[in-house]
Amino acid sequence: MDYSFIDHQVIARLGAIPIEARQPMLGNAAGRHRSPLRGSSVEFAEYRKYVQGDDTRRLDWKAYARSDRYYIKEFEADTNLRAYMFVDTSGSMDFAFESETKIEYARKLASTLAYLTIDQGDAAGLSLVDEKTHLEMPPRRKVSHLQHMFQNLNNIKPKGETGLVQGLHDIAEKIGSRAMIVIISDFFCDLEELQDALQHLRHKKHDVTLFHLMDPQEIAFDFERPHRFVDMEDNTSVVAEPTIIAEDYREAVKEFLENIKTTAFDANVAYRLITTDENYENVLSEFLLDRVPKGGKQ
Amino acid sequence: MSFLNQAILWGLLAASIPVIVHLLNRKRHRTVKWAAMSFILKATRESKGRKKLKHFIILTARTLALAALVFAVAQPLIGGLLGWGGAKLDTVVLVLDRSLSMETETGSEGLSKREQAIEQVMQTLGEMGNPNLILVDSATGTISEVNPISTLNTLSITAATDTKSNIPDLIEKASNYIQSATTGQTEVWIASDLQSKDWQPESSRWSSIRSSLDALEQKPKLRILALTESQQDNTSISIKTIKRRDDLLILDFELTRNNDLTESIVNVAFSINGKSLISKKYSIGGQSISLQEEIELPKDTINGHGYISLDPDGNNRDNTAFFAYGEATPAHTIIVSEGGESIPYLEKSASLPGFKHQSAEIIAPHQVSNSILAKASLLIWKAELPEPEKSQSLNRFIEEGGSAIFLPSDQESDNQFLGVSWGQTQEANSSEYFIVTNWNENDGPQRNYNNGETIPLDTLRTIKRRTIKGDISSLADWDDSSTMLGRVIHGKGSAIFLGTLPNRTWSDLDIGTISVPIIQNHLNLGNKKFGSAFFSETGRHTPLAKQEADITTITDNSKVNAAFDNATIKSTPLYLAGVKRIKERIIATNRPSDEDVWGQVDDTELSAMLDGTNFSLFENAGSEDSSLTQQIWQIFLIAALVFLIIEALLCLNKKPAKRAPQQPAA
Repeated sequence: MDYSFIDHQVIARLGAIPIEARQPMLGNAAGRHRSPLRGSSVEFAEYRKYVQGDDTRRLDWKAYARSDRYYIKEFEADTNLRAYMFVDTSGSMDFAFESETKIEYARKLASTLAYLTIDQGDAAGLSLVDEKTHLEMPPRRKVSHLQHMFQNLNNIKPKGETGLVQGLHDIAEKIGSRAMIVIISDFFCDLEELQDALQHLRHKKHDVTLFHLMDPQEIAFDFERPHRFVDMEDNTSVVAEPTIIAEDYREAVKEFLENIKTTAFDANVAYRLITTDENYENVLSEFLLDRVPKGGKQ
Repeated sequence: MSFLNQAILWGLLAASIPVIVHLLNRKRHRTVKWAAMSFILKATRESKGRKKLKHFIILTARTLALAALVFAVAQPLIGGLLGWGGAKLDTVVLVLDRSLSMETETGSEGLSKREQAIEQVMQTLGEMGNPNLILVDSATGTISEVNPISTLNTLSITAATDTKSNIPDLIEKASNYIQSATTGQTEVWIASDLQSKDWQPESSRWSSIRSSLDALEQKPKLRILALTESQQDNTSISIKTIKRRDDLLILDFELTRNNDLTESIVNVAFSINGKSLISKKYSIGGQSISLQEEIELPKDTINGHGYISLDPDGNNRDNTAFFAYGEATPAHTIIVSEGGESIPYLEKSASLPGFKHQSAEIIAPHQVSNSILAKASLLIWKAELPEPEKSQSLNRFIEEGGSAIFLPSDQESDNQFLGVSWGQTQEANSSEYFIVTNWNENDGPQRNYNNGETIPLDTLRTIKRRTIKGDISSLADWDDSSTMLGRVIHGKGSAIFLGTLPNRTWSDLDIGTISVPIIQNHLNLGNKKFGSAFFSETGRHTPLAKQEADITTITDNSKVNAAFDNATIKSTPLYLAGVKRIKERIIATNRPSDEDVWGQVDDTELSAMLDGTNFSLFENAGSEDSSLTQQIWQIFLIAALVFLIIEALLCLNKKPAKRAPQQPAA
């Protein structure tokens, strides 16, 4: 089945760039990503003294011959990457003025990233959250899993207020540690609470990235006539004269964007502001290239 | 304020368009589903105060801009005359200054100030819907209703005259008229050049005028059309005295000009009995010059007339001075004496040997009568001052232009004449004299000779004198600053009081170098009263003429030179300068000498005169670029632009920085 948010040409072009973890991951299978554990890869890690209980098969006999001491020779462990796509599906994500809606853009980002992840042998999962987390798909490496993800993405119907913060806390508790979490949202929530949730995730040593989606008009607020603005999350409305409030509105948005950037910086998570008129391929290639280690594999 | 295009004012309704659009916009808003609601709510909260005020100012600026634009198109009229808020008028009482100075031509169209005032009043009244016009003209002083107003400039009562004006009198008449007639909403318009002599700022009548205006039930507005624009170079000519000596006519005349900065040559033409005689050029260095010219009369003429005239200039009506003359008048002196040594000497001094036309007659004080004094030019009074009840004929003699010299009496008396009486008789100490140290060399009978030579009053040796008491202006002082020679002006004539006698026991005045010129000068002055019988002021009703029909014009300005006065509408002869025949007599009427004094009342004087009245001054009403109703549409146009600029500045929003163009997919 074809989905409008899947562009195979884009995937083909982006497929040349591997998805790299910015920190050691804890996967459930062998993979191409560094693990915090010692394992059986060919890359030497370190010597350590033998302690009782160590597998004697890992004793370095050559070292014993040279030093008459028992050393265990350890190697780096390679594991796979578990990537979680955490998509905000609250009512505000259905907003679009002239370009596509934020949720359409989120679908493209999430689906393309999931495809690329599974395509390189890593596991991808999906969480959808509106007022509460209403869908959780743990990371899998199977292609059939990808189909389910696409189907779920396709079925998203944004509604209600956002339960993003609680959703992040929940996921932090559930998925163990050291996974890659991509959060796609407009972040219309309490930023202090968001910061707590992000720090919760960081505490679990997750590699967190925020894709902050905004419609260009939400930033520019370029209206002439009076408008009745209806809240997409709770349907409350207010009639306003844009020529009067525009300046203060823009000031408030600017302040919000600066605050969320600071929040991300303080929580040591990656942050990218995306307006929905941007080419998502550029956004993703920039995201992927930024993660490629400059001096090769760390 | 009135408008040339009053119908355009309906366009003021357009000023409500911004408000209507604003209200419609608020009603017809678009509904937008919005995600970032928290920012809208925050911005709305913060914009409530300052921004709403800004928006209100923008709306106001738009409304005012449209209103100002409509006003500009409607061509509003305001101005010094109508002013702001000019209400609908029922009656305008126009006080028109028709004095000669109003004939000064200003502007390029060659219109006189009077003509300009009339034109502008007609235009303004037309614009105001032709209210009732009541005219009070300065020449006749009568009150006339002008209907229709378009005839104002065709009436003889608005035509040029050679008269002076009495503005306080005219305003009083206007006030009385408003009080007596039902005039409704009334204004008094005064069209004048503010000539000081016409307005008489020192007159005590102004207080009563203010009171009468204040007492009116509906206090009228006084609007003064001040035609104060300075005139072009102008020179006037006037005859001071005329004397006939046999076949010679001696003319004393004066040239006065308004520009005294540079020396100029003035051409004066003399004409007798309609024939041009001579034309002479005179040089004027200052503001005025007094000249004398002797004209040889045709032989065996008894009487006649003539004029002297100048070339055309800023005001042609003051370029001609007319005269008439009769038989030579003898210079007769009456000496009223109580006897004494000085009488023969005085008689000789008043009728000098060789001067056939001079004669003297000695009479006693009780013989003085009107009939005796009527033929005299000079009266020498060397007797006790007359008692008040017996001084009537003496008073009249001086009032009508006669000259009198009063000398100390031997008798002590407290009698006063013209407020002056004799004081104590004083004698100088032995071997000392009373000396004259200070005297007026320019004015009075002791003035210098025409060639500049002085009368040697300082050589006078006086051993006896009598003090002069009372209100008298001193012409010569003794060395102790008391008055030796004083003068009192009374009517057309004057009386001088001399503090000593030509008598060996009093002084050496009898030597002649001092007393003869003083007596002769005063005799000549008194003799002028006979010449003045041939003169009259324009506009002054002479007792000889009971009706206008009694006056026949022999010569007037228009006959002298058509270029001087080419008006088709003319005033009646009474108000025009010229030579007139009134019954059997020929009289030359000339403009009043006040019209040659060009000083204008200033703002301070005007404020003092009309203090407490509701008056407004519209200066330079006669200038070309002024109108009684000034159009001020330009101001409204500028105001509209200013409002639009304010609106534009307030509407300038800080646009967000343009986003970078979208990169094509790789």
